[in-house]
Amino acid sequence: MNFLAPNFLYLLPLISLPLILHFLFRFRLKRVDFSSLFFLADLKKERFHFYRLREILLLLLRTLLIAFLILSLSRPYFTKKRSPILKILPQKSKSVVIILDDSYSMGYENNFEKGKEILKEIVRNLNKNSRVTILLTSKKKIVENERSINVSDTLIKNLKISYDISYAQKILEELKNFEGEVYLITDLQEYSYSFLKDFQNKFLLKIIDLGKENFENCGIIDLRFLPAREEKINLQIKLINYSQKELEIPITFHGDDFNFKNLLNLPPGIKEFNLEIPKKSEKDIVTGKIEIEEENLKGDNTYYFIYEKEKNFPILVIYENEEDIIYFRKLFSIAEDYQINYLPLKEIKRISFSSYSLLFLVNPTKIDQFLKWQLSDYLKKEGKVILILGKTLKENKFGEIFETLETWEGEGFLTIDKWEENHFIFQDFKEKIIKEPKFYRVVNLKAKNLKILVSFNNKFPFLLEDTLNNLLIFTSNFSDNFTDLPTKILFLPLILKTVEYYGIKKKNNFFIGETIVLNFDLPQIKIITPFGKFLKETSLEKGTRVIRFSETKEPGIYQLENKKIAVNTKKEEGNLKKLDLKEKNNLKIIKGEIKLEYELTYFFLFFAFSVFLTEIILLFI
Amino acid sequence: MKYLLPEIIHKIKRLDLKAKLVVEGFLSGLHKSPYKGQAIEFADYRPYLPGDEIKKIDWKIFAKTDRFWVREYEEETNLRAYLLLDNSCSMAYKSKEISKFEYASFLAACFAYLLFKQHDSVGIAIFNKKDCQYLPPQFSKFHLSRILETIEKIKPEGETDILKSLTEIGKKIKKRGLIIIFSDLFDNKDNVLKALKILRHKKNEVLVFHILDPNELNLNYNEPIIFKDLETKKEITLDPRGIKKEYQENLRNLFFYYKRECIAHYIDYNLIFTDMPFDYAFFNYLEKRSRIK
Repeated sequence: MNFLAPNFLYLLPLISLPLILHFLFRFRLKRVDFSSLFFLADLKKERFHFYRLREILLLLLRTLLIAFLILSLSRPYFTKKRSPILKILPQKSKSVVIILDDSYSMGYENNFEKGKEILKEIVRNLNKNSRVTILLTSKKKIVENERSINVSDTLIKNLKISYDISYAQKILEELKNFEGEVYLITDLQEYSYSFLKDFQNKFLLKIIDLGKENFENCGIIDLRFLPAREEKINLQIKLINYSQKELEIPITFHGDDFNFKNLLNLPPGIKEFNLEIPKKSEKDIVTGKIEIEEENLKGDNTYYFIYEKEKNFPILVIYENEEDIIYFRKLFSIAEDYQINYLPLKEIKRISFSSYSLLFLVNPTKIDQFLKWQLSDYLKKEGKVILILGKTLKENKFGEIFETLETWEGEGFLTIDKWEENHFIFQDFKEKIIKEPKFYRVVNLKAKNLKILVSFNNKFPFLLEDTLNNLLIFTSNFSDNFTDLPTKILFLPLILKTVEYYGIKKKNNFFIGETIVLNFDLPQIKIITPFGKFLKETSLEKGTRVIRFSETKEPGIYQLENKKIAVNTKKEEGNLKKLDLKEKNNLKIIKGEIKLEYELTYFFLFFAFSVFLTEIILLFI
Repeated sequence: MKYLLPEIIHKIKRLDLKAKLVVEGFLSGLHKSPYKGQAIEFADYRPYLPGDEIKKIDWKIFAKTDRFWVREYEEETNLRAYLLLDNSCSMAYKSKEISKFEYASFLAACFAYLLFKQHDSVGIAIFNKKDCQYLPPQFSKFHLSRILETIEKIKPEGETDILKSLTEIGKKIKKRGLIIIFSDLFDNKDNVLKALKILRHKKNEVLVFHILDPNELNLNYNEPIIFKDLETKKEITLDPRGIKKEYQENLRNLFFYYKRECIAHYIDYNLIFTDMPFDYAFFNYLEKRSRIK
């Protein structure tokens, strides 16, 4: 007999409780003076034996009741002696590699426990002289080239699910030249195993498939902090429902300053929810977590976050003509909170953008290959760029993002027609103010991977944003030649709003298995993780001391000296969609339908109930 | 004199104890005598016969009828009462404030006082297996004080042997009278009855107050208990919940047996529990007695 929740077995010593209580009360029997035992003495002989027997019976029943309850909590099950898997095992001694998928998707409906049982069964039933290697898809080696008879059940029993994704592809590729049999016990998730469709292997790969066609799972994909008014945190939470029906999910938000619960209706697919949370204190860093309650797969139900507001926000304004930035200079001379640097476009080769949080590229005539590399690299590192166009780009190497089709310099002017009024940039703007300015020169952009936030009355876009929210493109310049904006009230607040929009630094978010590289000027730093504290030495790389930390085994808030980071699971693992895979000569698929139908929980609950009833009856005799 | 509380005395004054049996006495009282003679209560007239005392002639009748009529009186005699109080250790049992012995002592004191008020002579015997203190009946205020003092001083001690004790007391009772027994009768039931019969055979009127603590019947314990016998000091461990039903049944049968056998031998048997108010138990009995008259 095995247990699905063996931790409850630690409660088994509690069965001695009735016995202890019995003896405790026996030693503490009340002594009373009674007038005469004249009438009691005779009765005692007749009835006392029965009551002694009843007492023993009650004691036994109480012990059994506790034992049955504990056993039912630990969810016992027994396994069938001959399962279909045994038919595929080799009769002769062979070298065998068994790979058990321990990615967190295996946590769905006890798949991992089933997987362990299958693993045990395979090992137990292999030829005694077979050599076995056991691997986990999280790249952990459990047993290496060991005689199967020497592999203990306890070793397998103690295996735990990992929060990581499956690295089965890498493992199988490393095994390409292996001559033997490979068993892969997995849920055959499409996300992790689609490589198997074209996988070429010399060895015989036997897949024991535990996956389910129908499943219900949803997860938290992403969390973003949108700029918000003071004393508020504006969250955008992106959830995914992998199943085919709408789910109603209770979701809780815990943080240093807040704690609340919401019930969200989640249709199939991805959905974003915007939430405004009151921020009580004036903290610059807020840590917390979002949790989906009562859901099947736990691995992707929690999302840890760190909200950190950027204090110093260095901005670089790159320009070609001084006249294009006259109003920027005027604007930033009054916005003293920002560190502004101005740089002519021709001088950009001598600086690195990485020390700036935001770039303004104002009215360039060309984006050459070098500038493209610089900008692409900067955007990849989560830098923010605001591109203000107006002139036709003679050379645009940014073609994968946008193309300039033409420059509108028609007679008269254009005005703003449609605008995303809910976007953060336009908060506090009234329609009248937005629609008032006149634009004389506009670049007509063909947007790729960009969403249009504002468009003109002739359908030309005015303001575009990329899907990662790192790039904003204005199609007209804010100068006298292009618009009458400088004379209007819109210009100053609109630019300030864009700066404020990007003034929120992206969360310090990492994923399980990711290596965290951070600069520290210390030889050794203290690391606090959800699974313990330890010290780690920094290394010297290119003259600076860095810490390389890759032991992100569990999701949670990690603290590296004084720096806090959030570590989460990779969400793709939550998509349990099964791979449609067909058998080939060197690939066999066996359904991993095993044993757990024989779960004994309800039997034990029934026993406990029967014992309870018997005890009640006995008490009334 | 803690037993004679003023409100109790006040109530007693309004009630009479009428003895069923007319006994000889040398003091006047309220008890009926078979002899008609000089007494307080008028009975009848009869014609004067030679030899009658002249002072018995009713001169008012003579003035009206011109004939001699003599007044006859129903003579009222004193009752000789013996209060028998069991002071064995079992009587010390109490489940609440008052023990059986305290309760019995109080009742005995009340009876002593009442009988005194009715000009009856009262004696007391306080008994257990080893010892018996006996004060023969007398009618005097001083004697009443002695009785009450004795009751007050005495403490429960020793074991119960009702047959032996009552036989001894029976020997000491020279003249017949009213015997009132206060005991829990925790002894062999046949011996108890035998003892009562001995007293009854001497033509005494016997009243038995079988005094019990309610817990002795109810056995209100919800856990196994070590019971210690107050008399023998022996101990037994048992779960009262298990024997309660049978124990109560046995006790009820015993009460029924005593009641039946007492009626058969003209003995007045009264089962009294210590949770009954003193006065309630006492007056209830007196009322019953007054109805017997």
